[in-house]
Amino acid sequence: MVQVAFSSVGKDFGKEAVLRDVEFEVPSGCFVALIGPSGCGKSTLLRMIAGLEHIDYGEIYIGGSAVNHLAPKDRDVAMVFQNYALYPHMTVAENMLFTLRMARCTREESNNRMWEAARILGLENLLDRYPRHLSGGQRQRVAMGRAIVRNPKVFLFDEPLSNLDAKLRVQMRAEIKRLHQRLGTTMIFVTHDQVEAMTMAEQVVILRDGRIEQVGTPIELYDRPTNVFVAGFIGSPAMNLLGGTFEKVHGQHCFVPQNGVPIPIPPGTLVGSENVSPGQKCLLGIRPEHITLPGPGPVPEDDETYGEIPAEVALVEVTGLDTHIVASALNGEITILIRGRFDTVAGDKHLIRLNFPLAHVFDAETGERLD
Amino acid sequence: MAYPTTNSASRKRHVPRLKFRDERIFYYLALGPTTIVIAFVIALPIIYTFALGFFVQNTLIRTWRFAGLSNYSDLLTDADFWIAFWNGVVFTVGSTAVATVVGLAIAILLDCNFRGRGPLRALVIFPYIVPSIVVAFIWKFIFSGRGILNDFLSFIGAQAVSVPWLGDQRFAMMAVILISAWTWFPFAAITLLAAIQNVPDNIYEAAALDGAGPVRRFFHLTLPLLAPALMVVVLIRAIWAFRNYDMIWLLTKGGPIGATEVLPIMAFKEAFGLFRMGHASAVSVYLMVFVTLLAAIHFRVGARLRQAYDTS
Repeated sequence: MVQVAFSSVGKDFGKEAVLRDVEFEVPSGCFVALIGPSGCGKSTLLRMIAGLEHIDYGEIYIGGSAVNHLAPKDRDVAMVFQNYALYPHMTVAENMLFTLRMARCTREESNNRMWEAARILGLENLLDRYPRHLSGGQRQRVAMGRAIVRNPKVFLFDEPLSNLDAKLRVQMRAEIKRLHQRLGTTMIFVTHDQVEAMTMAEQVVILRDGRIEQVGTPIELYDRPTNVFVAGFIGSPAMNLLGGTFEKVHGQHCFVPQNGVPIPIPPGTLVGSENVSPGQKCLLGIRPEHITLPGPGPVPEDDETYGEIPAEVALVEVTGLDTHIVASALNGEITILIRGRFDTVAGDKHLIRLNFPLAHVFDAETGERLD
Repeated sequence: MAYPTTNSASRKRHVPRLKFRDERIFYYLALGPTTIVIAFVIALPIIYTFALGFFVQNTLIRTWRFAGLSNYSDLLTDADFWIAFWNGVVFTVGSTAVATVVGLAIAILLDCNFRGRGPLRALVIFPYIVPSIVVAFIWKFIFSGRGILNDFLSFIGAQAVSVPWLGDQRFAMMAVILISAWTWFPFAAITLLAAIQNVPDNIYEAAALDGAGPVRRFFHLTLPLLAPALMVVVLIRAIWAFRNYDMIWLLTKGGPIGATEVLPIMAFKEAFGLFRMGHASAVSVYLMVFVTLLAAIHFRVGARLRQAYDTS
């Protein structure tokens, strides 16, 4: 069943369109992440679901009925704000009870629901504290508690983790995910952090300049980005994009980088490239983790699915778990990610291998995927 | 890193060191001049007034007689003193309440988004910057027997209620309260507007999602969150109102028949009308005690509220 649906939703701020033709559906109980760079309209879209922003075009449906003209309180959604928006003059318990008081719940029912939420979030010992006495993580939990007690159809999260330090963020990430598994309620989560989106969400919606670029599972986004923007946005370090054309050279299908030496592509390994007309400008996208250096890694010498190109190491970054190498090759820079340690220094020359079956081909002009 | 160390060491040698063995001496020296000025312009007159209260002194015939506590004790049984005291209470409560309520309403209005908000915000300040004497003339003109208000009343056919507002014992206090509130509501409005703008928007958004309509948002959020600012406005206004002299003097001189006579007016009349300096001083000392009490409440309650309703 569809819980939240968008039908050609749009919004203008003055003359500027901030959202255009937004169209997607959120299945009931699904955890959806809205992700995109700053100013892409993701928070505005979330606020439109909540009723805090006017919907200029199109319609938003919650639980099957259009909510365009409903007040925020009548939409049966709860929202967790980036800076928590707790009521500073109320204790933790009062913060959570406020919505139930407004709904004129009985005292007993309110208390039961408040205690239940407090138990789920581990807030039992903080109920008589004021928000100013709480740490960031605790405030975050209270904000979630305030959302939970209402038992809404949809939870909305507006970058709830961005005010927390890195360690707490990872912890709260897991907590929100666990909460979702436990409650099974539809959740829509806005973030600009792709790791949050990839790790938490079942569906990810990527927005840019007010338009949806792609909707899919995290794996779909990673494996089959529909365009250059998504390809570059998902994955860290970002995907390498090499400009060039696909041509037949001496009877063999090759990728010809700009002003570079043709790289032969073993037949059948790069599906997208085979339908490209000769001379058409393309971008060959390859993730840093799909490039290997001889030596470590499981690449057998005679594996024909790899293309080899010469590269000179420019920079080596060791994270402990991985080694990131920035190398100059094909008249540009290529980032390579190697699992584990790799002993090399700037200036070293290597033959690097591109794993063509995992590479992507995009039209250089439209940026769209070609297969 | 040897270079910066030697550099800072050599620079240190050129810094003239304070010669004071004890830092406190420096503080006393720094505070000394201010303390002396305060002693002369504030403490001395207070002590002098307080002492004058122990004497029966007539400035006209220049007699001095020690009277012990009689000036102070006489006042406590003087009906006029208590009438002036209660008039002061009525004036203070009335003008503070009107100024605060009107100020709050205007502050909420000015926080809304509408065309012409900027000029209106500037305009609201107007009554506050007009000198008392001008205010008094404007309003005397409006409220006089043949003033604009009565013209208006007869225009709408209500001649029966037209009275010389400031000259009628029944209405004089009300008129003085309204005029005084008119000069003070901008202070309340601007202070409260600043406080309202300090409340983050998304607290209201959260409340809207939590099911609170505009009225409940006002009573459950705006009002409690404004409590510290309201307290400041109310108490400062109350302190100023209770010791207000100029506006009432300019409008009614405490009349008619003492209807608007408050303690500062009484003190003035005792001193410069009846030339009874001892009496006047005793009235002033009582006035000072009442105002000091209000100020003490202001500092106590204000500090506690600010701490309790910290929105950060």
